[in-house]
Amino acid sequence: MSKNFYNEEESQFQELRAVLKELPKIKAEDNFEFNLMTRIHNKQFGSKLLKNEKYTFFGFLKPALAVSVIALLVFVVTQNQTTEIENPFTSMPKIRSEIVNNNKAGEIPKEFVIADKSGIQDNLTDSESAEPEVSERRLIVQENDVITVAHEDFPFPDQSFDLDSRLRDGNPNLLRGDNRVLAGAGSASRSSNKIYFEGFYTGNKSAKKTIDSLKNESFRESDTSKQKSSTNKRK
Amino acid sequence: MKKDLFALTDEELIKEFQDNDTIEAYEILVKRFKDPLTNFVYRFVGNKDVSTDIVQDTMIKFYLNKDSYKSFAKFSTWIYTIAGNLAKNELKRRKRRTILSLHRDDEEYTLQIEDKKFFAPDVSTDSSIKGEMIQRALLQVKPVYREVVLLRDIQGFSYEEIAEITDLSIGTVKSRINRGRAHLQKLLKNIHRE
Repeated sequence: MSKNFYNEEESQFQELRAVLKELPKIKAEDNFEFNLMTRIHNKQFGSKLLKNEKYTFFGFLKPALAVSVIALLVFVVTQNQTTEIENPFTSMPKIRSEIVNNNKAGEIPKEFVIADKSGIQDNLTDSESAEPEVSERRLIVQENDVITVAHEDFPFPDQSFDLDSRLRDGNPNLLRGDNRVLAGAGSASRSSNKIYFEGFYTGNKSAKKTIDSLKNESFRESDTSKQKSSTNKRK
Repeated sequence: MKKDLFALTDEELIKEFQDNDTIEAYEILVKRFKDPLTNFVYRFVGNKDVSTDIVQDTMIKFYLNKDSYKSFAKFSTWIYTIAGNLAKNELKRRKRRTILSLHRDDEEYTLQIEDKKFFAPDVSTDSSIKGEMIQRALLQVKPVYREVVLLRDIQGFSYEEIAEITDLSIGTVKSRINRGRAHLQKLLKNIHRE
């Protein structure tokens, strides 16, 4: 009765239904009943299908293991790269004094020594030798430093001294930062509270008179020369 | 006594098994349903060994849960429901296992060659090849469509019985059967021409 009810829909697939009907019928194995009854008698009610499943620990974790190994390799490679390349914007520059202190006198590489150290005293801790008289200077430079060496011939090499310390005159705050003024900077610097450079001073006060007299003489000579030139022009 | 049991219907046999725990009634029901169930499950999963195991499990479930059968339902629909659910679970488990495993499980994809001893002796080689091609096509149809097509066109159940087995409405069963058939017809176009 039910088959006739749906005849209209099923008429479309008559050919297909005939093909499916022709399919050979699969039968159960000959020992199917024997196996079944044995299981029942032995009370082996567990499913064979679940027993056949091979859920091994490594089998289940294979994909996860592969991914973690790849991630570890990538991490190691990238980590090595970051240590090798130094970012100049993030790293602090090396301090020269530290390098000088770290390197002992004998350990300085030869290529960084510009001149021979013939005039340098070995005992640098001695207070008397803190300002050694050197005919040649030894400079420690880095690879990218630009150095211009100017040779000056002083008329009185025996009487030369550290001008900065003499100008500072024992006051360490002077000549630091804003207090420094260029010689001949003009009236703008005068109006401010900054120290104006007014010339060199001698350490020996007794020699001041002779220096002043020499200075006055030089001024007079310049005045007389100016007057002579002006009279010559008039003539 | 045994002769009397053979004369009983399926529903009467299960009643006998339920009431008196008669193992002979159970054995007769197993004898009646082992072949049609094996045929159905084999066409559904495409593997002879797996289908045998599923039918065995179906019979074990029937033995253990005989009291869950209610007399107003047909025994055949009840036993097919158990077998169908087990077959669907097996397909899902295989699918999950295939996704998790790195290598392709060849057993999942190659159709098991049908053992000749299961066929009638007059079945020719040509028809066996044809049957193999149809089985391949059946396995390409989605399981939700495949199940209802098999129940209707191979097992010969009515729409109402299929609705009871699959726990679907008759309308859904009807549409699924039509869709399944249409897909199968498309796949079997070449066989039709032959």
